[in-house]
Amino acid sequence: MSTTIKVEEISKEYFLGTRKINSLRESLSQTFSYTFRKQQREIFWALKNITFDLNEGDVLGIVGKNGAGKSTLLKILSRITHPTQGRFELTGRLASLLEVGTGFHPELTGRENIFLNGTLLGMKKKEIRLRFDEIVAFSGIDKFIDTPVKHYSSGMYVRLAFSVAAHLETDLLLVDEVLAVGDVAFQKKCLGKMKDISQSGKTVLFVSHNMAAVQSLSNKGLHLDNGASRGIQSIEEAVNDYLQRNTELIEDINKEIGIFNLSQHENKSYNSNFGLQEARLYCEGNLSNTLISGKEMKLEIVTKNSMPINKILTGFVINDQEGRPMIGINNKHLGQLSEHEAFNNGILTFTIPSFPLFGEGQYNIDLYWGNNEECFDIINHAIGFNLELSDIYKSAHILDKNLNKVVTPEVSFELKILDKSDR
Amino acid sequence: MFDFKDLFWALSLRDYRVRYAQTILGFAWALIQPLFTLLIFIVVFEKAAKIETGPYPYAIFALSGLTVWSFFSYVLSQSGSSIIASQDMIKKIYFPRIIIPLSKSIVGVIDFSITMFFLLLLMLYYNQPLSYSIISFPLAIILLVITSLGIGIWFSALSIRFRDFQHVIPFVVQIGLYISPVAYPASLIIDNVPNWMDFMYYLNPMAGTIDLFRYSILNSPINENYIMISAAIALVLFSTSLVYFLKTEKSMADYV
Repeated sequence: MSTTIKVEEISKEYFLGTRKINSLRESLSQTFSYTFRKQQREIFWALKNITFDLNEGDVLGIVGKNGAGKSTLLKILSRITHPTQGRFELTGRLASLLEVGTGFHPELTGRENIFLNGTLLGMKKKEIRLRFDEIVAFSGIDKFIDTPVKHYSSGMYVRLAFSVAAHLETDLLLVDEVLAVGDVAFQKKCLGKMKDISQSGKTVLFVSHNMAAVQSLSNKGLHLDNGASRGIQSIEEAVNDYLQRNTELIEDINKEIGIFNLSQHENKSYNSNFGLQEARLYCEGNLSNTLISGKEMKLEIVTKNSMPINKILTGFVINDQEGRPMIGINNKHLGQLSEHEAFNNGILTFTIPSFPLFGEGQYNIDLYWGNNEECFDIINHAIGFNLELSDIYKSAHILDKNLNKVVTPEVSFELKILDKSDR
Repeated sequence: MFDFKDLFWALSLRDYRVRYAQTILGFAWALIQPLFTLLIFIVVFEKAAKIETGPYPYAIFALSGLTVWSFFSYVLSQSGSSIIASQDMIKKIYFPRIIIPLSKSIVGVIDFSITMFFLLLLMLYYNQPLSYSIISFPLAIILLVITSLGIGIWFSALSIRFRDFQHVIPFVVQIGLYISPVAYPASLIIDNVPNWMDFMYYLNPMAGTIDLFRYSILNSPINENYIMISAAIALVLFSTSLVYFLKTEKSMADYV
């Protein structure tokens, strides 16, 4: 095994505060004032004496809090910025993926953006042409490949962008938190692709806050804490170090996509042990934080009561980004308010076969739980979800989101010709 | 550097595709701007100010100047602001930054070719023949490109640290149009200032560039010494711009 990355005592300092000179006037006035008063720039060390070696085929998971220096380290290794002190050596061709879709231009078509983004990431035109079909197939947007990406939904956009990046052919790969894109199905696909890459013998450096993903992908770990590190560990040790440092984060790590723990919710009106306990959101049968216009939506609410109840009244309100209610339904509206067997714990499920809101962006749901006489628990903005546009009529032409706020699934159109033209 | 040849062309292609996207007239815009300016020049400088352009019809004389000037002003303003405009890329991807301002010249060349084609049509209409002097055409183009890029690259690198320079670019384009022989022949100035001041007019590299370009297509008289002054200034600007740019390249991601 040969060493492919050798990092020796790398440090990086940044200046803080308003002292950064950005206009000529400031620069001139500082030159004059320099002799009179000493400059008081606050220095911030983003990285302090980082040293490590990696061998061919190693997959290094880098963990740490926000601002611990993870991205700075990747930026230095990918030569975007230079270390203040220290040096490093890389053997082999390097590609770095610090952001999905850098350089995408909205006016260009998907096809053109694949070539532009690919060359930006360091691929040759020839290589892209060779892998073009694979990239398109992976993204799953083949119908729209010749449409300008400004007409894409945000989901389609990141899917295409990730697909380009996932097909880079290099010896070294640096990846910064890019797995959190698309819907659940696509995230699984991304994770699978990352797994393939990490098992293909490439050297990979991988930053993520998703501990499960880091552990399953990496064999070595590096824990950064305020720019400092104890060096290379096994991935389990690094994750443990990180978790011990940030015990409050452990709960977050167990949180899964599409599952919302309501017992500790800040807007909860009832005490945490009872009432609304958990909500689960499904899109087309999969747990998801994202719903798709026109696709099936299912909402499950887990409840717990101190006293048995026998006539529930429960409902939800979906609000848009500006807080305007868009949908508000309870079981009474559905004609389902009736006496039933008394129970303490239950799961309530609402299913909408074709989600009727058309749009893109963040929405949130208020939840209500009670019986015919009184309200037991209510949580405003209990859960949030992301709505995605979709091609409702499978026509390869997405409806204008400014003109359409609701899904009209079945629209018929007919042409009746009244005269016949000779032409 | 050679490794990034594909990227250079990809960025050029992007600019080219985006330039006239969603316009109705499309590439006609490359022609409309110089033609309207030409029309105004004819009214102001030929009809009103009665400027003499020797044996050459004024329309041809002015359009030849405008063809060169349009390229200069496009490439200067595009490359001058290019680094700041691409700051997202600079913060996230490594590649030689110099590719960004350099790639701006390609779209300029396309616009240039369109106006050039129209200029040739106009010469055909006026029965203005080409002469052997056309062999210096490539030289004029090289001089034009290094002048435009030299100044553009200087501005692109300087404006990272000092945003002030972004505001200077339109100013340079505007003033430059008056102090360069675009709408009038250089002789108009040379003949009206003391002799020892003549060379100063050619410290503006665009003065020599436009003269050389006109010489190549019209065989108009030129003074080689003055052209050499302009060319020397252009070379110095271009080479120093590269040196300064490469020096600041390392810290660009920290400053943009």
